Amino acid sequence: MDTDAPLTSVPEELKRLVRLIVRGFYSMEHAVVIDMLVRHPCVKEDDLAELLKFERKHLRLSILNMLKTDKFLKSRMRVETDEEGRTTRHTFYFINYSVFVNVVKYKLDHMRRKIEMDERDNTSRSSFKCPNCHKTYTDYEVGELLDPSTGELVCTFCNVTVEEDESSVPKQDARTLLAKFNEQIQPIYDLLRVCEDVKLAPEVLEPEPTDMKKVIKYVRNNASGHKPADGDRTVWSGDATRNVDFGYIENRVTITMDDDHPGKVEKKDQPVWMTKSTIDGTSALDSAIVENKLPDVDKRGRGTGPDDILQTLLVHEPKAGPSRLVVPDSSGESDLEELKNGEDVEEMESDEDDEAGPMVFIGANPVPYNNVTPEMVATMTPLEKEEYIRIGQQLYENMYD
Amino acid sequence: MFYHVSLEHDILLHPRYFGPNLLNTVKQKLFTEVEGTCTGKYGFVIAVTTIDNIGAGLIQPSRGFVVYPVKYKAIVFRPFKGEVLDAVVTQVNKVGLFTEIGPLSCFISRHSIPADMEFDPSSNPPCYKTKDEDVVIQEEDEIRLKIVGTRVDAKDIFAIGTLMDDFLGL
Repeated sequence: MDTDAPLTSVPEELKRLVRLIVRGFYSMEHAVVIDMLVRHPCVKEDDLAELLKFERKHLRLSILNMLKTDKFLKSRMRVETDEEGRTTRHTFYFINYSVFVNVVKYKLDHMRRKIEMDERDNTSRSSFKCPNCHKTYTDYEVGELLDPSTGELVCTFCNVTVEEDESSVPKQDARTLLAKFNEQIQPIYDLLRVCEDVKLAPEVLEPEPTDMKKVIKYVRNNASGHKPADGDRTVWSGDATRNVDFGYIENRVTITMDDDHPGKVEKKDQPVWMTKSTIDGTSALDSAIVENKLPDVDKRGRGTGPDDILQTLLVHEPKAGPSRLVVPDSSGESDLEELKNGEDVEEMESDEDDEAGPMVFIGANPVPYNNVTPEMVATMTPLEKEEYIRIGQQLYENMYD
Repeated sequence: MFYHVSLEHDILLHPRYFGPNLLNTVKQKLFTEVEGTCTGKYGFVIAVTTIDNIGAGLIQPSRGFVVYPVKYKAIVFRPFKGEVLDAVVTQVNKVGLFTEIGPLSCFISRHSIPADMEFDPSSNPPCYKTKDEDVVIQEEDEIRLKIVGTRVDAKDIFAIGTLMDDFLGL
């Protein structure tokens, strides 16, 4: 443990020391709270109350405050905003590891000093009393009382043999008390020695709040309460860190969700943009547009039945009155095959137009609309030209249905 | 604990000793007056080792006595709390043991004697002994004790000791 770099996790010995101290010198309620804080570094007061099923007032006044005044815990105030926009102040508690070690050392020293003081008081207690004048004598004055000739202890004032004052006899010998103290505190001393040179990183000393929602949920789901495995020492540190990680991930979920949304929208955008481009690109044979079209067609082929395809195809040729009958008849299957290549579709359309485009009359000759050349237009009578324009307008009007 | 310290003492000498043996008389008087005494500060003066300086005598007005300030070195014994010492048992009774450590008397209360040792008033001389009579402490026995407290007066030191520790007792 004599590494120079500060530790980023609380060493097992320190955790054990904390639990040992709190079990040895505090009530069970304190021990439970400390256990929780050992597992989850920084916990909200409300969460503590809920998880440990304590009454809030009792928890704060008699447990947390006592641990805080003993410098075992530190608290931090945080203002949180809930879903409804209300701000609430929450107090987070965490174990003050660095100060904790010093506090323990200090208090142990005080205990030792008190025991030694008792020992000294015992030697100067009044252990003899004169039955006549009720004067009391301590062990220090025994030398003056001793009558060398008889070996009796006599009162210096009235020469009556003094009696032992049983009431002031110590209940327990101070020496054995100190030995007992040393023996019982030995494990704590051992742990203290191990923790002596431990340097903790600031993030361990001032931990970030743990998100207890998961834990609370978990506890609620398991009506039995804490799993015994939680208390298992071997899984201990792993469990704690895992929970911490959960907290962090959950914290970020809300953020990443926001990040995810634009990403998905972008993906959805692209097809819209692509479909748009295909419509624009029906006339233009740009290679990029063809590329865009290909997956689009594939998608349609996969996602929709042949009927849908026919519907979309028909949209493009509602004007071709005679061809309406022709197209379904000619080949439902071949249409599908042709659909796989956008250019083919266009070719097919143009072929159909050649055969079955609306007729424009120039003089007495019917000419398919698509075959009309500028020269023909020039030869048209005004009436014929008007009719030609009307047909053209109708045709393109329908195209965008 | 023993110390070798420099001390001072005034010798008051009767005019009858004035003569060729005057300084010898002063030395002799110093030994008798100082050795075996006790001061609270330095403890028991065990022995004078050297006399460093005998100052000029000062004749007391209207009396004829002369005061010689003497500087000397002496070995002193100053008991301390926690010190472990060998002692001789001088008296045994139901309240405890009385012992002597050279000039220092020390009392061991029966509460400071291991609980497995009991006072036996019927034996002669009375003693403290264990049940199996493995350890018997009686008068004149040499025991090792630890001082748990001292009462220091101006002219006397009294100690109380204990046998409740490792390697104490007989």
